[in-house]
Parts: sequence; C-alpha cells; structure tokens
Amino acid sequence: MVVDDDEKKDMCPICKTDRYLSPDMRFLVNPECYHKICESCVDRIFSLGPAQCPYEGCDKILRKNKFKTQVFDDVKVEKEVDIRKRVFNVFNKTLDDFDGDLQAHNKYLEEVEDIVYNLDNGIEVASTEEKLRTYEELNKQLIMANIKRSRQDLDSFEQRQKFEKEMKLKKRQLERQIEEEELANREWARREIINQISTAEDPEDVIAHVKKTVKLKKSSARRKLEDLNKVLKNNPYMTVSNGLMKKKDVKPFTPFNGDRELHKRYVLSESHYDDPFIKSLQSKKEYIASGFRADLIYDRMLTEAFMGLGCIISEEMQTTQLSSVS
Amino acid sequence: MIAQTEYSKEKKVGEGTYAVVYVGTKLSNERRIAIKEIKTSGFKDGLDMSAIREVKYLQEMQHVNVIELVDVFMAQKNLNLVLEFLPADLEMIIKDTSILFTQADIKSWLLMTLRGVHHCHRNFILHRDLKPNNLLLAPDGQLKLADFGLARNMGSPQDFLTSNVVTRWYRAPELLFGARHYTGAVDIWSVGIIFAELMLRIPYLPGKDDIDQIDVTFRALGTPTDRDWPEISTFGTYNKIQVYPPPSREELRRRFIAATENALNLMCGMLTMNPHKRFDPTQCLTSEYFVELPEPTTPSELPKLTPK
Amino acid sequence: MTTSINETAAQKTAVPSSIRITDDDLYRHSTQYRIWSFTPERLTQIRTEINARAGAKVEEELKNFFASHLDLSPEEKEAVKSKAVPVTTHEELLLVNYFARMILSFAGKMNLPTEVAATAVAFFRRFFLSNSILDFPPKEVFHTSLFFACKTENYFIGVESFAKKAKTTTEAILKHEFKLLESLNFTLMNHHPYKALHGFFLDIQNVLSSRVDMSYMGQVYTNCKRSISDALLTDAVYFYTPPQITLAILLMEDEALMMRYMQLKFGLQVEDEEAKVQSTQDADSQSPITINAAKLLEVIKSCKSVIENKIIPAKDDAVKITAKMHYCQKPMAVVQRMKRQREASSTAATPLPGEADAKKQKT
Repeated sequence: MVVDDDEKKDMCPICKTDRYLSPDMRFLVNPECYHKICESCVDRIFSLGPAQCPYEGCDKILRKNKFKTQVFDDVKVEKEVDIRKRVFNVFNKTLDDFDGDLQAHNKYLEEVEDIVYNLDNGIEVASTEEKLRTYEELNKQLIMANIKRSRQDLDSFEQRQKFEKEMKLKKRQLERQIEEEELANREWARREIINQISTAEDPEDVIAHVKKTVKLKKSSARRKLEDLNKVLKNNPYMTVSNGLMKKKDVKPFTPFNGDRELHKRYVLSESHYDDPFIKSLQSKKEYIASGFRADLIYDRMLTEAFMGLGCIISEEMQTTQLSSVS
Repeated sequence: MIAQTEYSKEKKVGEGTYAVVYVGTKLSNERRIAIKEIKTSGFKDGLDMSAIREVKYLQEMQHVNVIELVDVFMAQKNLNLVLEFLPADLEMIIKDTSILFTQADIKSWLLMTLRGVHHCHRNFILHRDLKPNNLLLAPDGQLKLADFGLARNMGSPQDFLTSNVVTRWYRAPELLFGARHYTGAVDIWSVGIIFAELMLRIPYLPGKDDIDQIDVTFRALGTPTDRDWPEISTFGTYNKIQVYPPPSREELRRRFIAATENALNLMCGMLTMNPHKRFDPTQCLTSEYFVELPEPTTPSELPKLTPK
Repeated sequence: MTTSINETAAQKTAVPSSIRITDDDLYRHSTQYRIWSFTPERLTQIRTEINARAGAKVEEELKNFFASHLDLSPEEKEAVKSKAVPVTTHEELLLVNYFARMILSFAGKMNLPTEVAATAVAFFRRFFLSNSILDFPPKEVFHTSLFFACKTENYFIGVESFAKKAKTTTEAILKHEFKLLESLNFTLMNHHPYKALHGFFLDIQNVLSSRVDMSYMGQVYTNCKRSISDALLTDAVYFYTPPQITLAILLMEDEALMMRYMQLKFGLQVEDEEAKVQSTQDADSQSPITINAAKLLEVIKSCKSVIENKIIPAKDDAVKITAKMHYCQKPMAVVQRMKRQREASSTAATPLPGEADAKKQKT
C-alpha cells in the first residue's frame, strides 16, 4: 500500500473520504493491528460482528468494541503507549514495594522496559506474553493492592481538597462574624462614651473604662477561629513534605497490630461435631435469646486444645531458670 | 515487706467504695505510677471479689491498649495494685468543650478501644464495664482499657452469669432483659454506644433508670421483634415494652451528620439488637471504616486535656 | 515474695507490639507459664530449699529447747532427738499430695464444679512451693484454698454457708487467705486441661470423621476427664502445657486412637503405608506452626510417664508425717508422752497425740 504521507493523515484509506470534505470525521484504530479506519467504515464493516481488517494483506480479525480513538498522530507511538499502559497495569510496583531499595527498583524497571520493547517490536512475542501472564497470575494480590493504592491516592487528594474547602469556608464565615462583632462593639463603645460623658466628671476615666470592657468581650467566634486554625494545621488527611503529598503512614494499616493467630492449628467444621452437650444448650430458648453461639464455644474449646501445644517447657525454661539457679 | 518502700504514695486522687487511689513514683526508675489500695477490712467474706477479678485478669494481659499492672504487694494487711499512671480518660475529653476533635481522632480512639477489647476476648475475658471513663489515656496518646473489677472469664457454656453488669447507659439490650448466658457481644454494644457518643459528644442513650433505659434504647434504635431476634419473648420484660419502629438510614444520617456510610455501617453492626448477629471484634476491626480516609490519627497527635 | 513477681515481670515485657502473637505466645504470656512452669531440676531445687529452710528452723528451735530444758534426763533427750526429726522433702510432698487428693473428693462431696476443684488443688499445691508444711500445716490451708478457688472461679459462696458446709469456722477459712494470695504471687488464672480435652474431642471427630464410634468417643471423653483430675495431682502440671497433658491422657486411654489421630493430624510417620498416604493429604500439616510430630510424640510420652508415676500417699504415711510435724513443733510433747507411759506402764498404750490429730483431720 503506497499512500502519500499527507493523504494518509486526512483520508480514510477504505472509503477514501477526505477530512476536508467532512470535518467531523473521526479516525479509529484497533490495537490488534493499529490500522486507521474512519468511524463510518467501522460502523459499516464491523456492526454485524467480528470481521477481517479491510487493509490489504492484514488478516487480523477485529471487533467493533475494541476500536478506539487515535490519540497520537503516529500510529507507532499510539501502539507503544497502549503496550505501556497494558504492561504497567500489571507490573505496577512502586519504589515503596522495594522498601526504598533504589537498585532493585531500577533493575525491575529495566526488566519492564525490555518487555515493552519486545512487544512493541514484535520480538519473542509469544514468550514475552507468557511472561506477562505468569507474572499477573503470581502477583494478582499485589497488583490489585497497588491499583487500589493509586486510586486511594487520588481519592484522598480529592477528599483533602473537599475538607480544606469546607474548612476555609468556615474560616471565612468566622472572620466575617468577627468583623461584624467588632464593628458593633465599636459602635456600642462610641455610644456608651457619649452617654456616660454627659453625666460623668472625668471623661478620660470613662473612655478608659469602656475600652477595657470592649477588650474583655473576646468573642466566641474568635476562639472558634483559633481552634479551626489548629485543625487546619494538623490536617488529618495529609502531611505535606517537599511539596509532595505523602500518606501519613508509610506502614500499611494492620487492624490487629499483630495480635491475631492467622494459622490456626484446626479447621472449625461445625457439621462434623457431634457434641450432645452443646447441642442441647443450642436448642434452649434462654440460650438462643441470650445470643449463645455454638460456633464460638467450639472455637474456644479448639483454641484451648492447641494453645501452648508448641511450648516445650523443658527447653524454653532451661535458660531462664538456670540463670535464676546460679 | 520490701515492696512498700519501692514506691512512694504522693497524692490521693480518688476514693471508691473498695479502694483508694494514689499517684506515686516507682523509686528505682522515677516512673510515675498509680497505686490502688484495696480496703480489706469490713468485708466479711474475705478478699473482695472486685479486687480478685482485677488482679486475676490484669496479671494475664499484656497489650498496649490494656492498662498495665506493674506490681502487686501487701502492706499493713492491705492489698496494693501498682498500675501505670494514666492521667486522663475519654469522658474528660468528650466533656471538655474547649477541645475540638476530628473524625480521624474518633477513629483512632475507637480503633484502640476495639484492639483492647479484641485482646480481652482473645484471652476469653469479658470486661463488662466499658464506658468512656474506663478508657484511660496515656501521656503518649494510647488508649487503655481499665477497671477490670467486673470482668470475668467466658466460663463454661452452662454457667449462669449475672445480668447486673455494665453501667446503665452502655448496657446491651440482652442485659436489660436479664439474660444469663450472654457473650462478648455485651462489650461490643458498649463500644458501639461509646462510638456514637464520640460523634455526638453527648451520651447517646442516657436512661434515667433501668426501666427508662429500655425505653430510651428502643426509641432510638427500634424495638426488636421475634423475627430479627428469635426467642426474644422468652424474656419476661419483653412483653411489657412499647413498640417503636427502627430508625431509617436517613434518620441515622441526620442524627450522625459527620459519619460516613462506612462509619454508620460499623456503628449499626455494633448496635445490632440481636446479640447473635451483632459484630464481633474481628468484624469490627476489619470494617471498611478503618481503611477509608481519613486515616486514624497517630496516638501521639490526638487532642489532649488542656491543663487547668 | 513481692520481689519475685518483679523478676518474672522482666520476662513479660520482652514482647514488642509489632510482631505477630500466636496462640502459643498467648500461652507464654500467661502466669501459668511465666510463673508456674518449671524444669524438673528447678522444681526439685525449690522444694529442697523450702525444706532445708524449714528444717534449719526446726534444728534451731530444738537447740533452744534443749538449752532451756537442762533438767531433761539423757533418755528423754534421746527420745526427743529421735522423734522430733524434721520432715524430708519427700515427706512434705507426700503430705501435700495426700491433702490435695482430699480437696478433690471434698469438692465432689460439696458438689462444686470440676474447674473450681482443679483450681483449689492448684492453689494448694502452689502454696507449698513457697511454704513448708512445717510452717503451715496443710489442714489449715485446705479450706482456705477451696474457698478462695470458689471466689476466683466466679462460684461465690458466702463464707458462712461455706463454713457450715465444710464443718469449720469462718475464722479458720479466712486466717491464711492473704498468705495464700501472696504465696500465689498474686496470680490467680488457671488453664486446666478440661477445655483442651473438649477441643480435642471435637477435633478428633473432624480429623477421623466417620471412623469413630460416637458412643465410644463419649466413653473416652468421660474417662479422660477423670484422668485429668488425677493428673492435676502430679508434677506434670509444672512440666507440660494443658494440650500436652490432654494428649498424654488420651494416649493412656486409647493408644491406637491417639496414634491414628497424630498421624492424620500432625503427619506422624509410622511403618504403615496407608497412614503415610493420608498424612500427606492433610493440608494442616503444611502450615508453618505445625510442630514436629515426632518431637510432639516424645513430649507427650514423657508427660505420660510423669502422670503414670503418680504418688498416692497411704493414710499411714500421712499419720506418721503429721506426728513428726507435731513433735518438731512441740518437743515437750515427747517428754510428756514418756512420762505418761512410765506412769501407766501397766495399761495399754495410749495413741500418740499426733496420730489422734491426724485422725481428726480426716473426718
């Protein structure tokens, strides 16, 4: 296919419609082959189901729903960006996942670049694709966690903005309130002075006294404002450092803080237990009403059965008790 | 006795029916401590049950969110419990109107409370008196469960337990009905009420007496029926009570204006009427509420009591 | 006494909050492990020391006695020296065990729950790990232990009704309560193997599902429960954890059943092809906390032999030891008895005062 570069840009190679003639024309590409086809051709050719790419010599079978708008003029760039997106969605580790080990992180990035390069240039495509799939299988959890994390970063950014906006609004309200109160106070002082001066002997005294009273009227709005400023300073969402937003806690959140047995030595399987005693309690009305739970009783008894099974006193006590002997 | 010279008693800070509390110092390392001196005279049955319980359970637990029993000693025929010194409690913080606290602070306190409760239940111990003034605050911001005078083992399933436990406002519905075979769910209810109180900054269900408590509880949260709480009619008092509809989600949203949906889910889980379906500590701690933003405030950055 | 708790407290602070706390760690936090678990050597050492201390005190008092009774005849002196001999460590142990056994039967007569009786036995035996029977006659601590156990196990009985049931006085019950609490190092929690037994009863059903006859399992359970009470009178409680004691008792009750369970549960290897195949199917055995099955069996077997070597003191022994204690405390009684014997040499010998005492105790 030999098409002039300029032509290639603005003319659909299938229906030969020219952009100059129909300005709302949009070009779409399908990541299978990245051949550019105009929207109306896509509608026409693929509406009835998957079909072969209309380009001469291209045998890819394309689906309509896979077509997308071309972002970059250069199809090659478009293709690379897509590959990158796909690979980075899977290989989504960040420096944090390497505990800040820069070298390890760099090595990882290099590996990922190799994969992108191979896919982009059609080198060892099958084995590289396999590599991608295997990694995805093995690291499903980590990948999901990282996706969630980046989404949360975005969320918290939005939440923070919302929070700050609310706080600032409140702040403005309080400031306005303080202004109004001060205005009123000044007015009150002015009148008070006039009123009192007409009856009092020493005008200086009167003025000093009224001023003091006004000062004491520290408004409640002002106190609230001070508190508000404190909250704004201890912004609960983020701490800002180096102008970058960072999550407060680098450690992941652990609900139990380690205080939980994750590898129980038993499997609780209520259906296997024939325990006439517990079963008799389970059917009593006053037990049911009290919230009695047979599963909790079974779990408790089983926990006690294995709690300390691995403590070998004769060995563990050897050192501590020998030292107390000496 | 050697021990009594190891500690100094400096100031009496409280006196209850069975104990006097002093602030003091551990002389060997200058550590601030509290000494609870248990009165032993005038109890015809020997050593008081509350003292026994407190010693028994605190000796077994080592957790950052449970008060530490540093030492125990006898002096002049009195039993002395040496406890870590905790200058404030959550009730003081809630009541001090000059302190402003955020949703993140509430989350942090709730998290520490639940971790403490989880540890108790993991050791098969029921606290049975959770309320804001039994949640003490250390100078470093850590919250600690204290006062184990009503605690007991989750004994054998056939044991009869007394329903006369937990301070009234924090008492679970099954206790209000006089249940004798209740579970750790009674502690979770108390935590749920404390959660609500932290958000409202006033007691959530302040009943005037035991009868009123039933009324207040169900007026706020709806009267349970035989359908959502099987065999509830086994309790004698159930048939005499007023029937209220449960609050709609919208009503709860309006009452707890700052709560997120996850916060409401957790609170409703803890305040589920039927103890069988109420959240357990594991369900509470793995709630979405704790992972959504804002993150719980780091204990050391929590609001503190302003010295007067 | 109060300082010893500080020493052990040093062990308890060694757990940083960030690491994972397993159920075994939880047991290691318990006072039963921290304060009341020993190696056999350490336990022997404790008992020997207590006995030596009390023995030295007796010798000292005898010296004082002879010094203040210079008018004694040589025969009288000899008689005192031969009768007022301090008890040996073994004799202390015998008498403590004798009374501990009595606590069990007494609690049974009072219809107290099994766990209360077990706790009372534990309290009573621990009391004599810091006190000698020469300082505190066991019969004086007997009721105190039982009454105190009722309180700590939430089975409260008023002291007056307890005294009435136990046919003793409230003063006698409460006299040593503080001393007991102090001797217990202010630690009151007990983990008895009964709950562990219940747990294994469930787990065996699961692991050997449909291969066990339920009515037979019920019988095993009942027998084992009785054997646990027996084991609580042995030193196994100091050397092994409740699950280990329970497995040892199950092994004693039905070795074939237990071995089968251990194969399937912990992947214990035996010369049995079928078992090998099945043990590999058990996913549990792959978890990181699974104990080395062979090692576990070794521990359980040694626990079993400790339980089987239980000492059942005869009544005669108890009477003899009690008499010895009596003469140690009151050397003058030997002299008085000689005098009485000389005066009434023709009539039949009167029973020893000590024996009479011992008989009274057993009612």
